[in-house]
Amino acid sequence: MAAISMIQLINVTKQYESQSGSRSEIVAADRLNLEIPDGEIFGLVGPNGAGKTTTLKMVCGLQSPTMGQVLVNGVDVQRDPEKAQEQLGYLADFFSVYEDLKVWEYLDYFANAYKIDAAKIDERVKETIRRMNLNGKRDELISGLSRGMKQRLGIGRAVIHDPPLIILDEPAAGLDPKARVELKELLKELHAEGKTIFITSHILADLEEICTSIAVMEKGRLLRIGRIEDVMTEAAAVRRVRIRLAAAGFAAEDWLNERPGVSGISATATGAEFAFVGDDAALATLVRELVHAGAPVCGVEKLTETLERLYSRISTGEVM
Amino acid sequence: MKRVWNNPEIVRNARMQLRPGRIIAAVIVCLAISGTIWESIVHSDVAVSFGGLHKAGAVFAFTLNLQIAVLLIGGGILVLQSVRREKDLNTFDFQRLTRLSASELAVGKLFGAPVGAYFVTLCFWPVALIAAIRGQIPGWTVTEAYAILLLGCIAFHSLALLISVVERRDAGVIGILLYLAVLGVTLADSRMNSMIGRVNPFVAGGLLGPRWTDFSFKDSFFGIALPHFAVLMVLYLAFSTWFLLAAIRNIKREPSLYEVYSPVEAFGFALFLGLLLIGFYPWQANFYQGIVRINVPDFVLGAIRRVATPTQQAEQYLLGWIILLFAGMALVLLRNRERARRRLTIASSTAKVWWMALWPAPYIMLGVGLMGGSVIALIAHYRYEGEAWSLPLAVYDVAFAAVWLSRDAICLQWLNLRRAKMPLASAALYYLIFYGCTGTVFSALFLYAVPRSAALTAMLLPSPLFALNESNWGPAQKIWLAALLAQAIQVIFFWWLQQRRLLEFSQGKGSPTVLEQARLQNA
Repeated sequence: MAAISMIQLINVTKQYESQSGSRSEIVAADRLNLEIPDGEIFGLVGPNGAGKTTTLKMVCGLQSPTMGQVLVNGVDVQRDPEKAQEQLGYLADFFSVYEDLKVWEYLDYFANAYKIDAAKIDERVKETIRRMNLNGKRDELISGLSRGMKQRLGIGRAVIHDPPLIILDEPAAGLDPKARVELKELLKELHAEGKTIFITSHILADLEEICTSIAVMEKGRLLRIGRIEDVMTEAAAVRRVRIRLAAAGFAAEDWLNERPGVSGISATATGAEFAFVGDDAALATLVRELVHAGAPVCGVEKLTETLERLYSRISTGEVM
Repeated sequence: MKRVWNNPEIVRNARMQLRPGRIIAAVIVCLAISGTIWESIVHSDVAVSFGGLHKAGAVFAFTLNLQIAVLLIGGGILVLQSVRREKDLNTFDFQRLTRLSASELAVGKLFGAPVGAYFVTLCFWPVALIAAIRGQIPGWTVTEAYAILLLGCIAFHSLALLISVVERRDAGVIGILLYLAVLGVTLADSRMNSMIGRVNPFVAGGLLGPRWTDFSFKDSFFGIALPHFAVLMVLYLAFSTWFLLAAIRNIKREPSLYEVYSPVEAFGFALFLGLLLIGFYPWQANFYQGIVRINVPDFVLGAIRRVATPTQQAEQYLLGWIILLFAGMALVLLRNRERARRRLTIASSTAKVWWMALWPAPYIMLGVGLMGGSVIALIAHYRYEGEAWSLPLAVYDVAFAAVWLSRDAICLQWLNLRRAKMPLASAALYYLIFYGCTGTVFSALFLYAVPRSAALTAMLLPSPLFALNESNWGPAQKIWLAALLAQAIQVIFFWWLQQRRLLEFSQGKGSPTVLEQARLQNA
């Protein structure tokens, strides 16, 4: 029997009435089909207004799709929202915490609201405070916490009932570099515990570091989906290559200009960088010919595609 | 369901509002105010006449009113903010995701949000109770007063909670004004038009002294004399239930799908209000004693008074209220584009579009018919035998009101399906302009002065209906029937327009994906 995906979107569409009074309607999600297996850290990438938050809210059952079906761990979110919501913890992009509560009171409130066994609540609150690295802050009012601590507290709230799925909308937004590092470590820990994490972020370098799979979303549509390495390899069919020469004197730019599949050459006296269309064998042939032509080649490397570069190439740059 | 006092939402609010520092501050302030009240009344050399009570009794009455003000107004505003503030802070979604049921969340907010106001009310208890004992106010009276305070405030807080749940994010002030308006309206003495005393919790003061006469007045429901206290308890419980029902129905929903009541619930609520209206109407007082006491300014009903008998006045008065009731119900039932689409999707076929395009007319026809029929039956029962009153004319009145209201409701529903920022508000504005301008033009042309031309105006406006009697029915009978027919034709016209709009939805013009949904479901 095939394993049940943690999240499944089947032909999901969400239309909004425009709040600007215009006569147009906004299609925030357009026939989305997505499957996220258990245990993934899945990143959803896209510009503002791409429909990421709407998608996340539909997964949480906070918004209903205009059409289509959302399944969380096999449970239809529309038909049985409460059962689906038991399986997930959610952190919104912009959120507040109850500033007049103490840290432990905040977590205690949500532990009770999630109806955790009363005998286990104290232990659960303690454990969450420890995991979120808020030990010294247990009895402090939340109003006194830093932004990063509040963010960790928010994640603590989302995982207090130990859900298998954690949904985080721009969790790194507004955090300083140290807090971002701590957040990444925390997410890695949660992943190591077997949690599935569905995350959006503008900070693509962070996603690249922690995600196992990504989807690129724009104008309500998913442009690319897959394992992060696959997506990047697929997108890197036109790859960039750097050649280094041991000495100056060889006109690399002129020579490369005449080769098929080569474009975007940026040459210096001792090397060149260029885009190359072709497989590894074609690249090997190119390098062999270059050596035969007398170029003192001392190094060839394929440049790694960063997620940011990949995103900028996939994206058309349009927003709704 | 967790026990009410273990409700996490109540515990959270108590923790936030009742920190030791705040408790101490509240106690000190309340003690100071209590002392000031006591000193200024009991130890005053000036004779105090607070509702005819002697000094200690006056302290109790004053403190009681203060407690009611704190809980009713202060607590009410806290409840009004309970959901709206969470939405503003973006924390409400987190509450929606918890395993708290809608009823637990609603009850938690109902009692949790005003927990500070409850505490302040309690802080005034010592001085109130000492004053009650020293003023020799009977224990049962004190109990009744606090029962009214508590249940009355719960009823009003339930209304505040409902407003807080369904109001738009940017409509906070409107919500507060609406709540205060309802408080103000219920302070008014309605006994000129009905056999029920004031229903605002401030009526608790009426238990105490001769100046407040509400409790010497027995309410009369269909002629049965009932103690006002008992009536209040039943009304508070009933309204708390109705308002909570609506709050619970919506509190965990997506805002774009808010629906104050289901159609059946809205219909039931309108019938309940109608029952109160006709049940507490002073049938016997008006008809057996030949007195009609309608407490409306003369410029509003002057024309009716001049032309109508007491029976006709009663009929027009009650019919006017029934129209208002079901117009309110129609507004509650109107669907926005999202909900209309959803209904279409559920129907999954265009076959039912013709029926959906009648929305919400069937409930209006049924409701106005039922309530209007009840009024006619009661008038037939209570009226003087010899008094001029025409049964067919009364039936015509009810039929006209039902058809006219259906016309406007279907038109508003059609307008509400347009793409616009606030389609319902702009539709209501169109109507206001239409009725205002048309009425002004008709008045300027003196069309209302002549029975035949007045009947002609009824093809567009219902106002001449309220002055219709046998004398102006006779010469214009055919025109009146034609006016009813014209209204019915307008119903058909707006039904056709709404049907076209719904077909656009189902054919995907307004929504490119709905058709695909239907196809998927059929596949």
